Amino acid sequence: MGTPRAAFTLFEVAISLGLVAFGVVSILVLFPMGLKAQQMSRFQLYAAAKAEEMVEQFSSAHSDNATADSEGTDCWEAAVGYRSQAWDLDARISSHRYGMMPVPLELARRLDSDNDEIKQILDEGGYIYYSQPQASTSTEETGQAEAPPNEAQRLLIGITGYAQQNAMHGLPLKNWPYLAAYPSPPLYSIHMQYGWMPPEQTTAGTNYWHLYEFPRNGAEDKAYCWESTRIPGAAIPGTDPDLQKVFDWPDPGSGVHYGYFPYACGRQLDSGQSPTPLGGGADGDWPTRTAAVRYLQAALWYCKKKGLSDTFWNDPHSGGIPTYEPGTPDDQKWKQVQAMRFLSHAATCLTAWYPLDATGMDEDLHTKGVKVTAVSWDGVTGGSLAGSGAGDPPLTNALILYYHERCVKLIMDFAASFPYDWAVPRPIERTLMIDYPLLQYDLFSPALAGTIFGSGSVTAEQWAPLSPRPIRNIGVGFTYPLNQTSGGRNKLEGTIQPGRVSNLMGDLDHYNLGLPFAPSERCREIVFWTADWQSYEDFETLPSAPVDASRYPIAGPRTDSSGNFRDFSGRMSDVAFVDPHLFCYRNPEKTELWFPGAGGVPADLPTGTAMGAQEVLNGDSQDSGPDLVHRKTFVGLYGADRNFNKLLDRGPIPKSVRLRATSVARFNYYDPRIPCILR
Amino acid sequence: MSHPRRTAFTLIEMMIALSLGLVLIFTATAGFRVASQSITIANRLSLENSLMRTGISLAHEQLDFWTNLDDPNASGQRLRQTFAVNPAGFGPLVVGQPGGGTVGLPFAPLSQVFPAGGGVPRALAGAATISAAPVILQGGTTPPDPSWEQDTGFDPTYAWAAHDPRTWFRGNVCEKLRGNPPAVDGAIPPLWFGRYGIFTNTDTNPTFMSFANIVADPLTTPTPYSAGYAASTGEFPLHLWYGRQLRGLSRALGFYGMCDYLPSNAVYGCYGTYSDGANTNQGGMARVFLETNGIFIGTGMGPTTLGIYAFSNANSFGVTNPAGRTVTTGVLASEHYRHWSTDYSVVNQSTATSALGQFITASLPMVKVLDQSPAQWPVVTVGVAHFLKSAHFVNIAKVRWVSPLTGQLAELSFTGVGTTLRGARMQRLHPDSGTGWARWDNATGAIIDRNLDSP
Repeated sequence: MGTPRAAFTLFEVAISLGLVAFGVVSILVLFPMGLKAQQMSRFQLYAAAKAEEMVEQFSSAHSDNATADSEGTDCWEAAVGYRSQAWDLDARISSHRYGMMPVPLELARRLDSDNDEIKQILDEGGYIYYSQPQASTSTEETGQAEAPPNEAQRLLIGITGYAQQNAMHGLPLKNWPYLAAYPSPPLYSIHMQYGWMPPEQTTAGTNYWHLYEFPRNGAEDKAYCWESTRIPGAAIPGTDPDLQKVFDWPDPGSGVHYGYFPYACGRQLDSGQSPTPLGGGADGDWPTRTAAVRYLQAALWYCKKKGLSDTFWNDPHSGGIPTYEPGTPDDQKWKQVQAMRFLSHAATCLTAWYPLDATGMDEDLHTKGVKVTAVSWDGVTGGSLAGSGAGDPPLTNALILYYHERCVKLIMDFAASFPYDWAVPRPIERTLMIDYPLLQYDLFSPALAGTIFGSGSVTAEQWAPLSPRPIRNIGVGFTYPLNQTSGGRNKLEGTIQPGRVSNLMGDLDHYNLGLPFAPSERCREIVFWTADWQSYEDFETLPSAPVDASRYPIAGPRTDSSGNFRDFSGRMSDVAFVDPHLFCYRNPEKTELWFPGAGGVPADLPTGTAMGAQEVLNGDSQDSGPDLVHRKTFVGLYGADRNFNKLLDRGPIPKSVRLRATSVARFNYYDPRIPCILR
Repeated sequence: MSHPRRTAFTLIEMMIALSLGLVLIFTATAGFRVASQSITIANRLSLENSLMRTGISLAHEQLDFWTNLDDPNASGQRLRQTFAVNPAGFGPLVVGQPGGGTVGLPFAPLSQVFPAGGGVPRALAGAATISAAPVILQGGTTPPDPSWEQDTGFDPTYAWAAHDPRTWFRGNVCEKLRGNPPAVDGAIPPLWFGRYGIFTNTDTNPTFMSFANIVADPLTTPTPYSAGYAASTGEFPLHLWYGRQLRGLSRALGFYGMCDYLPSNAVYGCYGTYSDGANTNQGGMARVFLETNGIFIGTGMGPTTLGIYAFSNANSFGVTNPAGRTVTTGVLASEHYRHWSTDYSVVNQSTATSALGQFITASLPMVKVLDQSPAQWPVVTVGVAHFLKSAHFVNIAKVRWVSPLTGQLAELSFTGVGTTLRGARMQRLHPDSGTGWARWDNATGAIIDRNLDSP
């Protein structure tokens, strides 16, 4: 029998020490948790600031893409109908000007996240974004200082949930609203002679129109009064061939041209004057007083042609300015708006040529007046201000003031009352929200289908547009005034009535843009992660994430200077890559993109190479053009300066390593249904 | 035979025990070291985060209350200055209607720089429809209605109603000016399309230049009448209000202030008797903003009437900050009456590149969050700037911190949601009512203090 134990055995002591060591170490390893918490707290601050910026940019920054064509011959031919213009945050602010750039896809695939959320976004065709190091201010990146180190770039951003059906950015066949000054002449535009215009008729006659060059401009800059488009044998609601006489009309008897264009562009069209160029150059000619009067005569003829009575133009209405003539049906009111628009513009021109009050002169605009006789065309004798009696006074300043006031009042009333009557352009003097139609795609009617212009036989489809109510007088588009189906019908055909579709528009019954919705139906999430993705060895040499093809600012169908139709390749080179105007087009990493320089392609250069001379920044030519290198630059094959320090950087982590992206913050939001800018 | 009883650990046991002990000591030492470092770093991060939070909070306070530009509890705020038209360093701003001889900076009380001239409030009487709007010809031989068109000054209670005919721009928006008279080859004389100054003007009795000075065309037949559109006949322009609002606001608050106060769909142009070295009283083309003179010039495309996008497409207008700079009143004034190149022109123009840098320097001074702090603490600075770019009212905030130990600099910059200048001005008591914040609420019966916008 042994002696009773008086102490722990070695085994017991060892176990105890082990337990104590485990406990101590366990406690000690908890200390770095505090460190991680502080790091997380910091990135949550970054995420909150970035989320605020994203929403601010989305809701208050304009995204005008003034350089890109906004109209095409079919809905798939105009870039405004593409995904890049969709009114959702994901598509809208993924742009170099708004500071959200997609992480290179290959790099994004190396990132693990909780529940494989990043993988799921990528698998569904989405992007993971990083933020540019500086705030998004719309100022030029070229002029900005290089960014200081910014931990916030470790943030990775994803959008979960799906974009909903929101308002269309614009109607691709007619980017309404067309804005015009009131008063103004008929709308005209620079056009080349091409297949989307009616046959030119250069001699006086019913279908006369002439493609005149502007003074001072090149041979391609010719004026066409598209608002007056006449399609032989087919009446298009909203077009008015009578406008041609206000714009430019050769009198069949004398051959003298009447209207705005002969006045504005000089005596080249005026057989009563010398055609000699003035001022020592061949840049055009001066207008004349007599041509100004003839413009007014044409405007007065138009008034009469529209069935208006003499008091419309010969009574100064000193008791107050009316809007429409009494008893005018709603669908006829546009005629008075147009008539007074031209009458006021033409009459105001005379204030440049006649004094208000001059002694010793036969005419003035105060008391003596200026006599304007009538012209007769197409069996209609126009209005006159001939000074022949009480019912036919001469033009005076009082009448000019009345014309102007009524002109502006008429269009303001018309614009406010008939948002879906497109017979007249909207007033630029006071553009309102209701000037912009609420259009959506009709997902429940047969899609429009055809081929891509210039591609040969490549087929394309697009949903039919849809308006909330019938569009009255849809007219023609200014880019393609003659735009017919193969059956000869005009493609630009307004909504007809519920249950039916037109050549273009869908079924009114399907319109739901204005319906109420619950937030849960449309809720999306902005998700922030953090990962040291800029530590990868190839984070600046990897190609950009795939660029959505709709971000290429392709031109609408057109002809070249010889009148030949452009093929698809030609259309791809017809848009000027003007940086300040192409917010939502081009590679979102555009300003940071690299291109090959004297030393070779960036991937072959040593780490730390100064790359300022090989960075696209605000240039307009490096990522556009016919050469392969331009296209490679456009899609970002040469990598990008993703930390914006103008140096070629390589991190220490090999590309074989996977990183874990830690979830930082989540913010709920939903896209607006209609485009609107808030302050 | 029995062995003697053990009285101590064997060598093996001792070696094992010592090894275990050493392992424990090493583990504990390493653990404590890691813990110590972690605590140090965590404390530093905590401190930095606290300072950053303070910085971000301060930035948002400045976004909301514009306190970096105007402290309502202070006195002698520089951006509340009003001054005569020609302070040193500031170009010739010629006195004209309205606003008298005083112009202001963005926080100047409107009662001092754009005083109300008519009845207040001046909301349009009559039904809220266009067809019922009282568009009455009160130009020509009748002066415009003194209680309506001739009103001057800013009315804080009145929004520009779409059905109010005063808010409809009446100038020429059709054509643009290409050159000034006398016309030369290629230039478009401003009067080709008529004298729109007879419809809208800032002058009650404008005098328009004669034709002889405008159409220098030897072949014009008949010869132009060498007479102006004289005011001697007593002809009055139809509308005064629109042009006076634009011109008055621009002179009262500077270009950024004017843009902030006008509706987003305003058209920028007016007619009147100004003296900017060109014939601005001709009544043909409206003038747009020209730096120092407070009148108008186009951006890029030649002078023409513009909306806010084209107006701010290649240039910016901003509120500059005198903090941290030695800047004279004249220079401070000129900074608010000029445009800054902040767009594509900087690519090709070295001077424009520096203009952007000057603008950032003038508008975005970085100010310390803490005036005094331990030397080892990071130095956190904050700056907030407001400017207009491509129709976007940009509120940029920067929070920057520098480690005093390593010299490392880091920065967080973002554009934030903030109060407009108009909102910020309404937050401040009018100087006649003292200093501090103004109370405002749209609830019925709420106390509304007199503020910087009050007549």
